[in-house]
Amino acid sequence: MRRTSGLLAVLAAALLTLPTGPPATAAETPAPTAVAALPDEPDDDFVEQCQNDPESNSEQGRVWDRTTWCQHTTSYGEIIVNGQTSRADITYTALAYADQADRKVRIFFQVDDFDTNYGVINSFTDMRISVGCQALCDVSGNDDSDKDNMLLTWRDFTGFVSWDITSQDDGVGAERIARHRWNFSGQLVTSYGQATVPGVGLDHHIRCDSAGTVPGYGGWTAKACINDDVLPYITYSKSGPAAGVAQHIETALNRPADTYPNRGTPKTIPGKYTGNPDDPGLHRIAVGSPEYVANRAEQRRIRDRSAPYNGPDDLPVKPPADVQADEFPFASTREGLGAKDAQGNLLGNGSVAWVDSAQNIAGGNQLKDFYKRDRILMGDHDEFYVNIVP
Amino acid sequence: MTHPRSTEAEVVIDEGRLTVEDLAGGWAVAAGPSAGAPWLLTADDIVILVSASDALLQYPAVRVEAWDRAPAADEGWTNTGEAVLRLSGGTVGILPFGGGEVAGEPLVVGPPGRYAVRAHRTGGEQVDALLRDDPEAVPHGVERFLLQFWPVAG
Repeated sequence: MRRTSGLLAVLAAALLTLPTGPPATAAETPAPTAVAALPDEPDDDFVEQCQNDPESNSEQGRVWDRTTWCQHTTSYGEIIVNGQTSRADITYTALAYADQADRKVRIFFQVDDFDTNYGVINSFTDMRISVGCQALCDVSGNDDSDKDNMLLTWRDFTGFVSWDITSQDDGVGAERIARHRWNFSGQLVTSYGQATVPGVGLDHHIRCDSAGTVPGYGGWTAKACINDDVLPYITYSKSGPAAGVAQHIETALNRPADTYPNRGTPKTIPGKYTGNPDDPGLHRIAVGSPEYVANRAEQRRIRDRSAPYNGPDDLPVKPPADVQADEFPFASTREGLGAKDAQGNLLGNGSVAWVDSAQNIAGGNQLKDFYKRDRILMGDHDEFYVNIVP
Repeated sequence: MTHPRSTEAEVVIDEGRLTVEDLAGGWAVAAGPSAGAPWLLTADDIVILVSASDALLQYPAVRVEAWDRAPAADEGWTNTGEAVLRLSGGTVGILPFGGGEVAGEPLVVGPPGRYAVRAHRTGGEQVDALLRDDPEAVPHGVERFLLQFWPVAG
């Protein structure tokens, strides 16, 4: 008898799965919402969105944003007896909500449907589902009776079962950053006592921190978790309220030699979202830190055409319109205008452009909210990118 | 109330702005300008104060006061604006716009609820004049803001 369990029979995944799909469109960028408590039940609209989303129909599911993950897919379990395969295909929906105010993640699971081929596996076959978590984390809910039911019962029960992953308040640095892996595992047991090999699903990654308890993260919740299987990026739309900022950044990322200062000089401006984690991104620094002050000082020299930025290839004088000098990379990043090499020489991989004041303000507002919503930590903890869309 | 509860601090200007936020929440993109005072942007849980100066690096002095009722008009400010917002926690902090450390002590404005806020601004022109004389200067406390909260019905 050969026994496998696809539900879960997909072998444990690579330690890190970083989706490399195309950047989200502006419409997919989540609107900011108030910090909410973990829900007792998943949001109906989100469940429907997930169930109709092709990207969620995959072994790894889809990280929608750093707060939410979901999966709607079909997996299987089978047992081969005397050369005959008995199999169940199980379609399920699973969601994970990262807590924005605690070191916790809540996972939901529901069987939407199943199909059997009438062998030893049938509607009365028992299915057990559990959640595992590795590295300084605990799972509650595995011992609840609702995780062990006949396939028929799983399907006819219209609600979701849930687990809570709790991250211990410990980890790296002052922010006490901890990264955890969690996964589903499942097993089918027939009414004759035949069991599939327990299958373990792909690993999903979460990160929890207590950044709000340390200086530098004022206004943040003390603790939180995020879904970590995704590269964080901020989306600016060329037709949105920060259109001028989007245009400026697009030029800086795609045609850096066309930017001021030193227009015409080759530059390599980092931060373009491609989905490739090896591409150079941006790293947040504290507003008011020495690096930040250096970024602003350089921006001022460029804006005011102070030496050495007073040549014909430097930023023209301010036009009469209501504009502001917009900088990229952002002054709140290590890669800003004041960035230097190991010898202390300015890298010069930046751009300043005159941008409509209202649009510049809107762009700054988006960046502020992105840092907070996506919980962008400072230093090397969170390399992030910029995605420009029409 | 003769003497309101208050907090004050100097805070670095970032993107030409600073914020006074309810420490329980607040989203900048939701903030819109107040009527007659485009430099005062508010939404629930957040007040964004825009500097009158072009300085990219300066440290305005900010004072925040919590009153039981509308305070008397305070003369001597270049600009004044008012708005109404909801505070979901009731404790606010003075922050650099891009986030960072709360400057000074957080201030308990009152219980969660609806509040009027009156904002005053002055000194931006003096910052610009100072920088014209010394472009490398980093002004501290030259531009000043006063924010006064009091509860309103609703």
